Amino acid sequence: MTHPSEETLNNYVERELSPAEHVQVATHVDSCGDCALVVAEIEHVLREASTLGPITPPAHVWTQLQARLATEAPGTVSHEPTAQSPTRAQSLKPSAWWVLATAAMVVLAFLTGRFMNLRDQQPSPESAAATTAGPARVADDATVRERVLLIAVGDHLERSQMVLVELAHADATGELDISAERQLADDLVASNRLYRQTAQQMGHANVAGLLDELERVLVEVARGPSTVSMEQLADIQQRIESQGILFKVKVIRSELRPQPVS
Amino acid sequence: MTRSPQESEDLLQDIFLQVHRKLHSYRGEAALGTWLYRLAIRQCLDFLRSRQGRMQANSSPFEDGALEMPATRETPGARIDIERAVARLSEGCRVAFVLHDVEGLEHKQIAEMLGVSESTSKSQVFKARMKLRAMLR
Repeated sequence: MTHPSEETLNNYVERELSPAEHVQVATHVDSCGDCALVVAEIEHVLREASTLGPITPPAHVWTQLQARLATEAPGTVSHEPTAQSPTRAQSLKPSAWWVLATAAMVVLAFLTGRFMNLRDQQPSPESAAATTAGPARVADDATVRERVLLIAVGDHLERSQMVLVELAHADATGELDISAERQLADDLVASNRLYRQTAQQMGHANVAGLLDELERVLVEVARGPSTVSMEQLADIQQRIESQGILFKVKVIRSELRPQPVS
Repeated sequence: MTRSPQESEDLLQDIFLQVHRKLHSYRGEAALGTWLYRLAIRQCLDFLRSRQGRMQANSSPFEDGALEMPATRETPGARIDIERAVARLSEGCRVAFVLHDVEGLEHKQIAEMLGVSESTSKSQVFKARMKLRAMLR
């Protein structure tokens, strides 16, 4: 066999080749030092990429953001009703939206940081001053970010629970169309991943663990067929039931509910 | 990419303000995280394209070599870490690599977010890996 192209070796690492091609390339790589090196180097890049964690912006960014929001005139935010019929999302109260918007920052912080090389930069004089002069504010910011993350995760778990309950209680005599649940699961996978990574970074091992389990179920539903037979539905239900995932979601959701301020 | 802490921080704040202003248009058709990702990426790309426009007219970040940083900061042959290596990628490669290999998104999702085809996303990730492979040797 001639040497596979780098693209083929990349697809081999990605496991995107057909089974026959995969075996063929694997056999070649086993006996070819040059190609084995290419594969090892691609795997090295992927391992290195997996070490890149979330980035937290400096504390003064939050302070500046608060100031900018305070200067936003009330009229700058349009709340005209849209042409579409009201949805569950639209029915959330403005206060909940505000919390979710803030929660967004937990997620967006590392995304823009990664794109923009925040970590590469030296701390600015302002950030150094803010960090030195305001440790209490930094702690407050961290607490606020943590709280809004947990509230956002609570919302995410609620949506996930809806999908799982629908599937767990579905009853089919023939084939069942689960395209709506599948689409929702597909949407939830991306946000689940973000919340899991953020929860991990913030030291919430129990939340991250649940999100990890949840992600596996969501991925299975999202990547499965839109129409399932009775047997396939039973498999999904068995998976949900055997892992006790619904129970765990309910427990964590109850733990994440904001406690009344005494 | 911006090489400026101030620009990075301003952009982060701009994204949050956009989220604040546009929340009323979120209809719950996609998960909140997906919606946020789209908005954040659009804002990042707009910023980068706007700056690219000043440097290099009529070029897409997804074209070969677009805004690729010259490898001038390191001693030739010296090993650099993944963070700085990623920073040297062209924008298209960098965005696709971060979303796929760091954040774990599927090519389908990346294609939808960036408004490109899945094959473009795959191609950008492949190119990024090959460049990083060389840089990390």
